[in-house]
Amino acid sequence: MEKVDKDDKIKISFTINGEKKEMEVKSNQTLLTFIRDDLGLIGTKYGCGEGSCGVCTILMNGNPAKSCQYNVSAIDGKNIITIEGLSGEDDDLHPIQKAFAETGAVQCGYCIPGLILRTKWLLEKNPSPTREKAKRAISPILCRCTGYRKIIDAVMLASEKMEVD
Amino acid sequence: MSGRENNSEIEERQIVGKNVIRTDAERKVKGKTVFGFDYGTIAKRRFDDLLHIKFVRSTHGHSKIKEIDTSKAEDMEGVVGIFTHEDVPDVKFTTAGQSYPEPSPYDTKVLNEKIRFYGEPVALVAAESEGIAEKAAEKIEVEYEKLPVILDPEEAIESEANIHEGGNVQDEIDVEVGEMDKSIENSDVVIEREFETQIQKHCHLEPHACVTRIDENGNLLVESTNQVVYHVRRILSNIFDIPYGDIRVKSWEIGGGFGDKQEMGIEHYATLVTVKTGRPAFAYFDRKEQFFLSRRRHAAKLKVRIGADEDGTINGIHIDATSDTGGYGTHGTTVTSNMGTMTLPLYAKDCENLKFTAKVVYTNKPPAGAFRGYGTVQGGFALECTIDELAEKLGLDPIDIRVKNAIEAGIIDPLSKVISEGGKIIPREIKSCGLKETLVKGKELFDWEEKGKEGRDVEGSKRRGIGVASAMKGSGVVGFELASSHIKLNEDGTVQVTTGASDMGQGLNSVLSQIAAETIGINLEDVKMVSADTEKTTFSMGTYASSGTYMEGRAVKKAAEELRGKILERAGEIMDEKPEELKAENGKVFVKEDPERTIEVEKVAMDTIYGEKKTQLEGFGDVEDILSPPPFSTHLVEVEVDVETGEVDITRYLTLSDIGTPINPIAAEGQIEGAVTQGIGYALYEELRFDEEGRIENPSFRNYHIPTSDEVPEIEAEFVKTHEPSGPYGAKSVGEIGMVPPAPAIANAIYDAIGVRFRELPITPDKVLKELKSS
Repeated sequence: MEKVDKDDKIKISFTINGEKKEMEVKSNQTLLTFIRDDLGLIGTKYGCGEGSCGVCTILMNGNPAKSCQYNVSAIDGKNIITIEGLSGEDDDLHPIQKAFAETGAVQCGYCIPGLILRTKWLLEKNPSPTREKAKRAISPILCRCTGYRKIIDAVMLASEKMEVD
Repeated sequence: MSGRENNSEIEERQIVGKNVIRTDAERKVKGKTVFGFDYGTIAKRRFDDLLHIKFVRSTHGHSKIKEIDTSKAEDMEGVVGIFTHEDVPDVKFTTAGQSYPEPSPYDTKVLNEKIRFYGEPVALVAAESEGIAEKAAEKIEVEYEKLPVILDPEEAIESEANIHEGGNVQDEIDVEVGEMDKSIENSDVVIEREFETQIQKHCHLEPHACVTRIDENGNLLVESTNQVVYHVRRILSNIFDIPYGDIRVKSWEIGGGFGDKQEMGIEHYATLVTVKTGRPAFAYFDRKEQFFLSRRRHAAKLKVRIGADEDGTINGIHIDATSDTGGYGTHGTTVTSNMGTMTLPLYAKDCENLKFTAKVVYTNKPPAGAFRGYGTVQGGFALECTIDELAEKLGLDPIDIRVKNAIEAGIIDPLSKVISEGGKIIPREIKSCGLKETLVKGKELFDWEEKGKEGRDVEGSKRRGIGVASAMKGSGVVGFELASSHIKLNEDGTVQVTTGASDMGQGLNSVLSQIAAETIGINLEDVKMVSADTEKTTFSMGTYASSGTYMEGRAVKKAAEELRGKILERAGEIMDEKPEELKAENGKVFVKEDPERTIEVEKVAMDTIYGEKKTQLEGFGDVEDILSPPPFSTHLVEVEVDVETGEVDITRYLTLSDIGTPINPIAAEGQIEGAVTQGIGYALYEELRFDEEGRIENPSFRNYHIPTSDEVPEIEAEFVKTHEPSGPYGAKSVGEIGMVPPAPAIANAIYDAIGVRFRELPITPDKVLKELKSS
């Protein structure tokens, strides 16, 4: 990371959704604002700005991170995945995305990008979690619509599907 | 059992009644869906001249503004406009997104000179960037003349300090059918109990957001996240004196509404800035502002009096409510009226003596509004806990006493003869009713009797208990609402279906697509929905009062039937058959007697547009609500109460609901599961707390806890199918009914576990411990 001018901008390099980038960015902004306002990736949501709801979750070097809680400089040298980076090259649904659609886990859908990314992290760590483990693993992300049952169904279905693959 | 439909009809269905993947799911799981808040981000990138709006919010709960010094803020570079009560149109209105004339008082302006709740906007700052707007807002100095802050409704009734001219009682309700007093006199037992419910917050994860601008045609374009675009257009037209046709209100996808967006919550602020400056403007609430500035559930104090015979026959019920509408009366009368009208008829099988009295009271709390359950939640808690106590007093099983008195099909809702939310009295007959079945089947599925016999002690400090509660709701508002839909056939055999209502996440567009596809006889993927846009759709009331499937569904079905008729007619001309000999299914028209003879809808469509006889095939449907058929539901719950920590753990949660015939059962399950989860939060921990000034003490998700995935049980959603003759394919509503029984069912189960009746919500561990100590 290199300071471009002393007030405002920094130069950072990072990989986002498979694409390497080197950019001069405003230093006094959160990672969430950068992703949405500068990169235009609006699949990462704003919910509370204080790290309580988790709808701004992205993957940073494979781990879930609440992007509203980081300064943009945090991604320097890191590998970032947002929801837009999950579908395949031909825009096919990832098995986790498919599972969320099939089990009825999606209502308003505002929390879904964060939940899907957190599920990806979970299943990479633990390809066949128990329902109890799945419930605990997704608990940092709030959903006000579903009651979570169908979200857990989605995590379990995704786990099955990915095991078979 | 009334309202049964013959099976052959059901079997013939291709799409309706099946578990289908929601048509919006794919875009949502890809993160491609644009929500209202997201459109703000898009606008920031798209419009160089976009103004950012920030609020200056009052630091007193009740005061008069003496002076606002904006000079320091005005001097800042990048500040474009500062607007106070002196700059707003001199028009009073209600922010309630209801049909006209709204049953809510016109008691607010865009910005008010008198402040009626802590955090109420005093001024708006519009600036070139959000940062500048924020800094400028901090530099605005406001001098207040403080007035006494009144937070308790009962105190407000007595107080001489008026929050609004005309006193603090915003409205009173007093209705009765039959002879209540006499029914009490003639009863073997009388039970009277008092209850208190708290303030719950919607907590939809997408905040309010709105972008306004003068569009390329010179019209005011309002792009928002809103359940009621047509009502918002009407209210804005009234405030800003702009003809309806010159305003376009559109809702992008809604990231949860639950009633909070059945309101003009933010649109008037952004509109003011665009009207004053001519520039595009973006306003949103950050999470803290969301807590202070958007609506919340009415707190209520309720009294229930029931007279019954020894055998459990209920003779009369009286509910009295005092509800806290806060600084403004938006939805005050109607929410409060639902505390009685949507609960009392539940046991009206043989009981025609029903009385409902209420006061709607202004206080210096943030204004209450519409919230899933809309008064029924508060009234239902009081009624269903009292029924449980009545059963105990009579030595009857709480399910049996409900079965004995449960309303049935064929009964005219007694209260509908004397009171109507929309003002027009239309007695409503219950045409379909599975309430009794939800109770009987629930008893069996839950193993109620066996569970009742089990011991109360679990291991260690835990005590087990079971509880039950039932509920009814409506489907829309009787005599008050209009929905309409237009469908056009495209050249390729796909259709464009419009609805003025918003999908707020419940899956309305998907359900309407199913209805359209089924009715026309095409495939689901050939339906394209256009919704919630006053320029592109015909009028619809919007999405509230559990009306989506019932009202919009009927409108779409009517429009689709008209279009289907025209398609069959044209197909008949091409095939040289009479239209009545034809049927359409899955995108093909075939001869009923000779199904091998077919023509694709696509070919028919091409022929209508480009063939010899050119015509645009279309269908239109509009419907009124004259019945608002109630869905019914019974919830059975098992809890374990830890007598050492006071914590309540829900170990089983079973729901049985009569929502008519579900259009998309898996989506309907989701509605119940979600509503119950909000109901569990309401029962056990959710509560906005206030300090003496009326300032919210817990305006964040850190301090206002909503249920997380590791806290809620796996809710079982069963349906007792009925066929609602007035509904689309037999459907009633599902959005709100699941919100009502959780609190009383859980309270009743806690009593069963530890022998303490909680009549105040939420039932927190502290309260449980306190009661256990004193008992």
